Amino acid sequence: MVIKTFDKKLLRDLSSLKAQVFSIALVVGLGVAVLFGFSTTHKSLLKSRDDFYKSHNFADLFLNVKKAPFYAAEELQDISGVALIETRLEYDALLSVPKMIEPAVGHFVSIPDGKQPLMNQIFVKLGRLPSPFASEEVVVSEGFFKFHKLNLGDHFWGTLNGRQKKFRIVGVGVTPEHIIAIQSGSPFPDDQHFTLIWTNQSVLEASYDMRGSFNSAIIKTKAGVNKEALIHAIDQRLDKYGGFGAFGRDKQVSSVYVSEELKQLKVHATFIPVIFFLVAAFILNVVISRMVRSQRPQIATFKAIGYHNKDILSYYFKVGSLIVLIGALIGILLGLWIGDSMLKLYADFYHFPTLSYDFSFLQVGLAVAISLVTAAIGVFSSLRRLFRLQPAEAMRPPTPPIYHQSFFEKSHWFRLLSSRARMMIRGVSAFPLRALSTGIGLSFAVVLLIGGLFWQDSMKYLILAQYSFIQKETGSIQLIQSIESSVVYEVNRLSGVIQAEGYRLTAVKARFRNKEQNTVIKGMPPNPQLQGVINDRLEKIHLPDGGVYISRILARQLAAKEGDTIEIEVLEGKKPTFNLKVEKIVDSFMASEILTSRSVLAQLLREDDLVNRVLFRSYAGSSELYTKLKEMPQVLTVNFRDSALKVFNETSATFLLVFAFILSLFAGAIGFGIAYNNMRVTLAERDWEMATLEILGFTVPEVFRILVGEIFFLLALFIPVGWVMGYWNSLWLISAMSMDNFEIPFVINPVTFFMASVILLLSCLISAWLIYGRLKKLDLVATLKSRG
Amino acid sequence: MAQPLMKTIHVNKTYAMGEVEVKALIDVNLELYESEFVVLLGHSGSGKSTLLNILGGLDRPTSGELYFAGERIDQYSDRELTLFRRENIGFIFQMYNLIPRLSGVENVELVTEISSNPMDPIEALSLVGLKERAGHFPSQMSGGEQQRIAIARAIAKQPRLLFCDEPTGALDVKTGIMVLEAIQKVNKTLGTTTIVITHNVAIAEMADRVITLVDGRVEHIKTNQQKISAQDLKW
Ligand SMILES: Nc1ncnc2c1ncn2[C@@H]1O[C@H](COP(=O)(O)OP(=O)(O)OP(=O)(O)O)[C@@H](O)[C@H]1O
Ligand SMILES: [Mg+2]
Repeated sequence: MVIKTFDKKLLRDLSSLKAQVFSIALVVGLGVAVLFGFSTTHKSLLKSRDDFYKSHNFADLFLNVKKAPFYAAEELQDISGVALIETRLEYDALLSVPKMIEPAVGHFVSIPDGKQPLMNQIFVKLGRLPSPFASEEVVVSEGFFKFHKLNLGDHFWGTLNGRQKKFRIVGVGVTPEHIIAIQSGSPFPDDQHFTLIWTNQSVLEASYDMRGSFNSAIIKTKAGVNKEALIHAIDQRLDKYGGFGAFGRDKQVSSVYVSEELKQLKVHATFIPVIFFLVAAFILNVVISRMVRSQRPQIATFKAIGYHNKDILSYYFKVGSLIVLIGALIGILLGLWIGDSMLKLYADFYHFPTLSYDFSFLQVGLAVAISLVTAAIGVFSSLRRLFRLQPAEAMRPPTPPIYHQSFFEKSHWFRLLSSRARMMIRGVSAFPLRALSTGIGLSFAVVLLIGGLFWQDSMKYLILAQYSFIQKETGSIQLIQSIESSVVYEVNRLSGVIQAEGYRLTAVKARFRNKEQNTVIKGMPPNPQLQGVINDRLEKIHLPDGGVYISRILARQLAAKEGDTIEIEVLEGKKPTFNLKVEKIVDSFMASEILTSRSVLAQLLREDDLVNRVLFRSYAGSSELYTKLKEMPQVLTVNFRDSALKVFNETSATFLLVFAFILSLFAGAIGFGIAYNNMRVTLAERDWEMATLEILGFTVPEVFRILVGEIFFLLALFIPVGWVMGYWNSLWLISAMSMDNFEIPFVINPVTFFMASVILLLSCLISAWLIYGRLKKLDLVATLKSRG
Repeated sequence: MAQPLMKTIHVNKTYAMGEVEVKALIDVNLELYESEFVVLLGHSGSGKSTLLNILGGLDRPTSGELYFAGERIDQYSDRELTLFRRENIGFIFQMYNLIPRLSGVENVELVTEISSNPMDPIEALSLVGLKERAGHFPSQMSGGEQQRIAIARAIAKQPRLLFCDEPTGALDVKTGIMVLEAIQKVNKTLGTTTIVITHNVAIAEMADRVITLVDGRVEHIKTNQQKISAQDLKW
């Protein structure tokens, strides 16, 4: 009985609120879309990763050593906590691929001849593993194979230990160790210039003269073992063989990348929907409050004839639920699409056996449940006051707010305002809560916009700083070993080279207080031109001979400040240890490093003035130079600055642009939803006032200005609030997404604040335009009669 | 006789209500003169409000012609009608229609700020005897006081015509008379042409002319030889 009478009313009520229902459903829908889309993507990615790690036995610890005999590994096996150890050989080498002009870099990893390794097993997507003792056969990584449209059976050459060797592709594979294929020391994956190459152990043993030895090992630990202690024990035993230090998955590049991505997805899956649900609850509150106010006598009548509060509550809750459920439905469909397309995007970077989009009904249920909670909050908050009334009292129209002159109205400036402006201000201040929540809702839109748009500023700054002020080279050559600096002149003489500089890099462990970090000391040539040293205002800093500067990333990793003394343990050669006083912290976004001059480093290492990296500047696309480089025996790898930049632009930058665009649309929807509902309710409640103004001789545009004045007054007050909140929120976002080895500078251009405001204003203008149409149609005489 | 301030020629107003047509005004021919005080009488539904709204530019006739100061205005656009009202017409309704968020004087200022030849808002308030209540909000005033503020607001722009649709309808006798006094004073001191709709035949004695409507037609027009002042009304 109760249900039937109410249900007819429900449909009538809803259809009279079409535009408002739509705008609320839209906001809920976008919240659900992001929540659902991102959390299902998160779950799918997480599941694919965990399945892959498990099925292909991803190792727990990784270690590199200069050269250790097999029995050293057997010793390690005896350490309690080590469940399984497997040794292998790993080398970087320059590749010459027939389809490519420029050289590529291959990271060779050995597998037991013709067999899967015990850990970090290869999922062969295409072809097969090399046959036992087949010296030419290799498996390459998926990204590189696809990028160059290679075929099984294709040949290429690699310079192994200074000798050119021919290889044949027999398979394409992925492993849990290289879900993302990244060259060590490089900030981005570059499928164009970098590939993993799995080859028979015998091949690498022969090429590098490593029979009976290994330079890399992977370890599976026993459950519940203290990894820190284990790493320490391993490092101690490998010290005499030139160990570079063992590390866990938390330092393993591919693993870190995937976890970071998962972390970011989680941040987005919470930060964005929360805003939407709050805003949706608020708009719902405004709309239901208005409904309740206009239906007050009806409600009282229902109460008087014996309906309970809970019947009335459930009625309005049904109204609210219906609206949010429409939104949830839109949101889930949109979310499915978002999730599916994001996963497709991921498939280009992250290489899994399969990466399939998956969602559970639990997640659907969760999205619906959160929407319903939103409805409950919105509805209940608007009914609270009504329930405290007695039926008789409720049957009378609500007592209008008492207007009086508040303290600021006594001020001089207020008297200078026109009566229309005063009307507007009092309209806002008479319902301070509504004004406040409307204002906060609007500032949320600004927060969302700034949170989406500022990434471009940060990234632009990053690119400018990194590629115009720090890395000024065309390419960098990694040498096989540290050699006399005369090699620099050799490079300089190659045709196409404009300038070349020699650097000496050495891997070290840096310690400060309780922090320890693997990093490098970079010995710079006198007066370096190709590597810039800058501060956070992009100003060039002079590195005096003997000066010791550290990069901002390392400073963060060690929590060290200027003036602190850090402890250094060199991980190669004579392995000297010494202390260094940090004189300055310099800006860098992609490298953890200690900068000093080459001569100082030579002294510290007790070596001659050697170089192992040559930076050069050359004319664009000189294929002759590339051919020469491929032939130089001292060259281990060559990297090109612009190809990294290109990858960065094509991946992160594009992603950010799309992200910013979508967030702008979303924020626009919020602005529209709030502004439209606010004005719509104001018009409904004050239509009589508007009619009066028109009768007094105000034109429709003049009346319109008074009506929308309130929302624009709130915009003027709360956009700046949004700027401040947006600034802090963006700062939080940056830190929530920070990566250990990558620093995104926090930069917000004034233009971004401006753009955020303009987008919000535009969405408010659209809703104002819709309201204008309604105002124009206002029937003066009928409106007056309805009140009289 | 002088040229009429307003004039209607064969004015008809028909409301289409689905199938049914309601003829609210039928062939109304009227002339209103400068400074006169006119009372409009008629039963409920006879078309008084409809006529007043058409004269005041709130509504348009279905057919016929409407002239103001010799200019034809029934073809005006919405905007032109609004500007016509802004300059020339003051309205007073039964329900006061004050803006609750504005104090007495601010309600008057609302109008003076947009008209070309306004009087001082305080002066308008003194004219209705409410100068000392200028800062009060409508919710702090009695019905009669609110209606007098509405009168002050209507006349502050110095309109040529003042239209009052049952201005005392919601008031008791004593306050009703005070309101009528205020209207009469405006008519006398400012010379504003005034038309008052009422159900109260007694009020007709205040008028120069009394127009009676019956079923949308002008039944007859009576010219009073003698007007009485509001204080002397008996009802
Ligand atoms: N918007 C409208 N739609 C349809 N009919 C209308 C409309 N406005 C007025 N009418 C009809 O026109 C006729 C005249 O109405 P009007 O309001 O002018 O009467 P009135 O003389 O002012 O009556 P009262 O003394 O009750 O105020 C009535 O029959 C009324 O029903
Ligand atoms: Mg009437």
